[in-house]
Amino acid sequence: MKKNISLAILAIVLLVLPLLFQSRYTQHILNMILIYVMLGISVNLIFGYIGALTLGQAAFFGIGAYTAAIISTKLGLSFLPCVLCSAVMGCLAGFIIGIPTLRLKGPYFAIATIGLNNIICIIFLNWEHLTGGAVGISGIPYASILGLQFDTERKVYFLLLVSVFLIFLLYRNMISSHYGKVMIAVRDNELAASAMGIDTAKVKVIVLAISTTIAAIAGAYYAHITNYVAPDAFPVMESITFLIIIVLGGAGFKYGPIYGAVVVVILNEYLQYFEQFNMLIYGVLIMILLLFLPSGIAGIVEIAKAKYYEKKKIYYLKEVGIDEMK
Amino acid sequence: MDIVLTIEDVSKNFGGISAVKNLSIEVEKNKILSIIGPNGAGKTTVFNLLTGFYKPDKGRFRYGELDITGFPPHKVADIGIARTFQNIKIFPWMTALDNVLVARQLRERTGLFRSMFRTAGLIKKESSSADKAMEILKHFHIADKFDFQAKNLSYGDQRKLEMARALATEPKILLLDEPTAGMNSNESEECVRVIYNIKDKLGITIILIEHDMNIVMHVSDKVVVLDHGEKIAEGNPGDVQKDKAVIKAYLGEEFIAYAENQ
Ligand SMILES: Nc1ncnc2c1ncn2[C@@H]1O[C@H](COP(=O)(O)OP(=O)(O)OP(=O)(O)O)[C@@H](O)[C@H]1O
Ligand SMILES: [Mg+2]
Repeated sequence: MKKNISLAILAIVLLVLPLLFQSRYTQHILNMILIYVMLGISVNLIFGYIGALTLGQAAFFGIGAYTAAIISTKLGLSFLPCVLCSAVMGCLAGFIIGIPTLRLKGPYFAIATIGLNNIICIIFLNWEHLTGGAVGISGIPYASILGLQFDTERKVYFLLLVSVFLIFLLYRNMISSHYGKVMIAVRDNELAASAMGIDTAKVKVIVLAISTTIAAIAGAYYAHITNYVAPDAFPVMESITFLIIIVLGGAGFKYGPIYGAVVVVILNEYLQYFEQFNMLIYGVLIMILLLFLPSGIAGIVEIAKAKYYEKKKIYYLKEVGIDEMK
Repeated sequence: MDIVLTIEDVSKNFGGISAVKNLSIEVEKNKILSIIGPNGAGKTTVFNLLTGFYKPDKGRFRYGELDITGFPPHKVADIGIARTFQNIKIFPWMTALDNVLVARQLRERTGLFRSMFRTAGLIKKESSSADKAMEILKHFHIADKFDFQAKNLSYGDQRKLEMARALATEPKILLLDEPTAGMNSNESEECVRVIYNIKDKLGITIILIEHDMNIVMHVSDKVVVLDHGEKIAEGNPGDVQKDKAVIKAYLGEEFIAYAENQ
């Protein structure tokens, strides 16, 4: 009951939020946060729950964005079919890339994903008649569903809100099911998991494909919101940003992507005022945050909740520092 | 005599070391077979070969009629061979119950897409799966600690949890690698009783690696002795205990005369 009330309050806040802010700029920030929540969910699945460190998720974001851009401008398909095509492309790319690379352990997988991200960017840059090269593709139409045009930041907000809600629901169901426990088992001890009859290679590839599907869907939204895609939007640095969202928000925590996206988008915006120092300040801030919050924001929330309810046990907290605090 | 598992002339080398050499063992159905031998004799390596963690250099494993040589670990578990590890490999951050639920997935297969859409069928299946997992924890007397994070369990309870998890995959053959190591004598006695019950009540064949000779002599139907990767003796517990080669391997040449005078 209490939970239902707090959910209702949350829903009202989320629905009213864009009406409180009149400036287009603030509304744009809200929309960016929602896109980054999708990307955070994508990275949390493969890094937080499977433990495969990915530094190439922007490649799949880009594949989704370019698929939507090409299909909508060249074939004239409308928004929902574009999202579907992007999702299929993202899923296929996840399988094709996951099958050979997920055998690689730890840092080798991370390095392979960096290579992949660079290769995909080079393809965007050089396959000119399809991707428009360095100039990119412009004139991507606004998203529209059943004649309803999402042509202002505020309308886009509601479209994103509903979409993120649906994706979050599927993601939550997945990780809180017994299948989610299998994922954590693969992350925590692959050998033991395989001795339990789990085909660990298969689980990893499937979860990667789901994660890249979500990244590609985010890409399709991005293309239809900004009306423009170019190769410089999907560099490895962007993949690192997605990873930071999850590390700050709390890897392997359900709400990690939400906390992380809010903090990272706002941080990025404020740090723009520091011009050439912004990367420096960003780097130092992240180092400090990670030193004091090894499980991210979600870890702190979890401890606070445990204290509030006086629960004795905190489940799944990975980092020793936090765990000892209870 | 009903043979469920045959190890046929298996060898495994690590660099220069011959960890297992020309080993052949026949495992009888619904019996407890113990593998003993000094440290480094190759006992754990036999388990690792059998469960697909290592590939043998030579030889075959037959499970009934089925040649399972080279099966990957998850397939070995699927056909009904489960194991525990000498150095405990539980999922430390999960609760005891969740550890067992992971193993139940092999037989329940709730499926990813049903999980995503959280169908009524899934909810029902997951709750019956949880009931079964609790049942198994009860078997090992750790049901009251179902919501403890596994790493917070006592060492003995962690060993029990590992056995519970292996049993949750519904094996026909259970491989136990030093299940009583690190247990106090009460725990160890209880553990032996549970092992005996697994064989007796559930009809599961057991291969046991065990250092405690009292336990070995007490529960085994057959004992195989390894030394430097080779089988030096085999037979019922009483005979193996008197075997000269075994005494030599364990205690050294000079004890043979002593043992004969006893
Ligand atoms: N992965 C490996 N790489 C190299 N050598 C190995 C490996 N696994 C086992 N060995 C070697 O093979 C030999 C047999 O080891 P094994 O672990 O099977 O012995 P054990 O009989 O189980 O001993 P213990 O009673 O100490 O558990 C040892 O000499 C060991 O060092
Ligand atoms: Mg051993």
